[in-house]
Amino acid sequence: MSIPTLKNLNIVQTVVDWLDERVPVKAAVEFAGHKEVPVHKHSIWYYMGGIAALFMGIQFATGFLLMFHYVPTFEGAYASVQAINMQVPFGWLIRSMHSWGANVFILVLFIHMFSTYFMKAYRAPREFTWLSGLGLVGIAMVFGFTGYMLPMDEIAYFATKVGVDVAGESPFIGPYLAEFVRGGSEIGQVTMNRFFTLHVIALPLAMMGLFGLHATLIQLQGISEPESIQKLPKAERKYEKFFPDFIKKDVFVWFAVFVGFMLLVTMRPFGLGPQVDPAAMAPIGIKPEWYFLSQFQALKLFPAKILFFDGVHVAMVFIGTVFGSLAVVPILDSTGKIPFISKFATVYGVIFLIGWLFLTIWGSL
Amino acid sequence: MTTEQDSSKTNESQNNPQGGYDLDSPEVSFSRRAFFGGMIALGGGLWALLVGGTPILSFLWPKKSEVVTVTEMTFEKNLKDFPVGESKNFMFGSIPALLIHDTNGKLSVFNAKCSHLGCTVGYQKDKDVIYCACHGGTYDPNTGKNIAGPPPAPLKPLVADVAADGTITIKIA
Repeated sequence: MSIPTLKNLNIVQTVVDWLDERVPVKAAVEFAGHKEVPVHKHSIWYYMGGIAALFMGIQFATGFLLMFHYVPTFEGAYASVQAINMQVPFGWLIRSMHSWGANVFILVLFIHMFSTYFMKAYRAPREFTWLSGLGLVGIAMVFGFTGYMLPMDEIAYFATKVGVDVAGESPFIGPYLAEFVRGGSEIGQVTMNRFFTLHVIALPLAMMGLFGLHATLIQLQGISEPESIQKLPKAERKYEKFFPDFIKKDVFVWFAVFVGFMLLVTMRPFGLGPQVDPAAMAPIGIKPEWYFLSQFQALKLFPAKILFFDGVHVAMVFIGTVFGSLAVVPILDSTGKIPFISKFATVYGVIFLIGWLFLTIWGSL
Repeated sequence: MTTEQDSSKTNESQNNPQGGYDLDSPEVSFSRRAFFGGMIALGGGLWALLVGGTPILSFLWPKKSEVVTVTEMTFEKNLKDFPVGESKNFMFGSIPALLIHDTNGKLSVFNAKCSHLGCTVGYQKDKDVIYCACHGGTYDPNTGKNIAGPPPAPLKPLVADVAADGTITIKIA
């Protein structure tokens, strides 16, 4: 690097050059400039991943703020959330953003997941991108489950009870697993310590790590095009530059979504149920959050006994297999060269989606 | 590289027409080294897992806790103030319990933990059943038997003794 004379000193250029000698900024900018995003009639689904990332950011930021006022004790948690909602300036806003944000985050993740599934973006060489995305959905659900308990209202208590007991019905390790998760035989302070630590330390780290992998893979492999677009002659396929063209639109979409989200958050602030009374009967009509409704409805439908097996065990195996199939079916279809499997994957996806919607709506009634 | 590999392949097929491995060829001795290297790595990994995992898992493993901290307690109400059809959810030590003055005039008392997935059950006077709101399990209020829905087993019974003055004592069965 030549020492600039006063005459030709360009501060920006000098700083960039200085930085580039230490960190490969120019290479990164060039890389972003070369990256192209396909433009076609299904392009709208490409925004879902970015929206999901936006909500991940909202969750991290609001969660971090909530920790300054939340008290993670079995006795004090409810009062602290009540104080956040009623006394802390703008506490209601931060809490509402966090609780609504969790719901919207998971909804966007589901849309992102199903859209990539039906566009068959999981095909080679993107199998790990799919699996890491599936892992992120899983982590988001555990986030939801552990976060659910923290306000210690009625639904928190019974949802945790049922969730842990469901884990306890897993074959072989079930009882040990339930005992381990609960930290004893009953839900109490130890359970709260475990859920809180998972929710604020372990899961964020896991999510950031897996998201890092997911995003890196997308950068390395570029954005997948649906089969119908791949078939088109090269001249008919359109692309735009990721930087700055796509990013500009992405920022606009983020802004629009954020405004809509803030309307929801402020017009319908997230409430808090009555404080839990461990002696009292589970309240009539108690239901988990919507993203667990399909499993909830399935657990209700299985009878006490099926042949020689406990119904709940059969239900567990059923639910586990159905959700596990989301990791298996795309891998079977990863080459995309076997028409039967390709068709099967599409039909399976449709059946899965309809079944899931059906059980979710039924469970909510 | 390519030529070397090709030549060793030719050697292998010449030495061993059946297609098996020639243990003396340089390729195989490399494989043996890789095998032992792999075993050492695996063994080392398992060792590290054991040495690191044992204290961490033991640290996190919950203490043994008593399921029932009491064996006997006096119920908060006298029988005189607890008429037929009345029911009450209460804590019996660390477990939720349910006392019902049932339609036969008998006192029934159960561990109120649903045998399905552990929610707390309650008495529904209008339907004369014990009901779990989580997944719709239903039990007979006189016997605790599971009669509808997903619960696989009856409720666990407790015992209610009534003294001459109407004091109700709850005991483990």
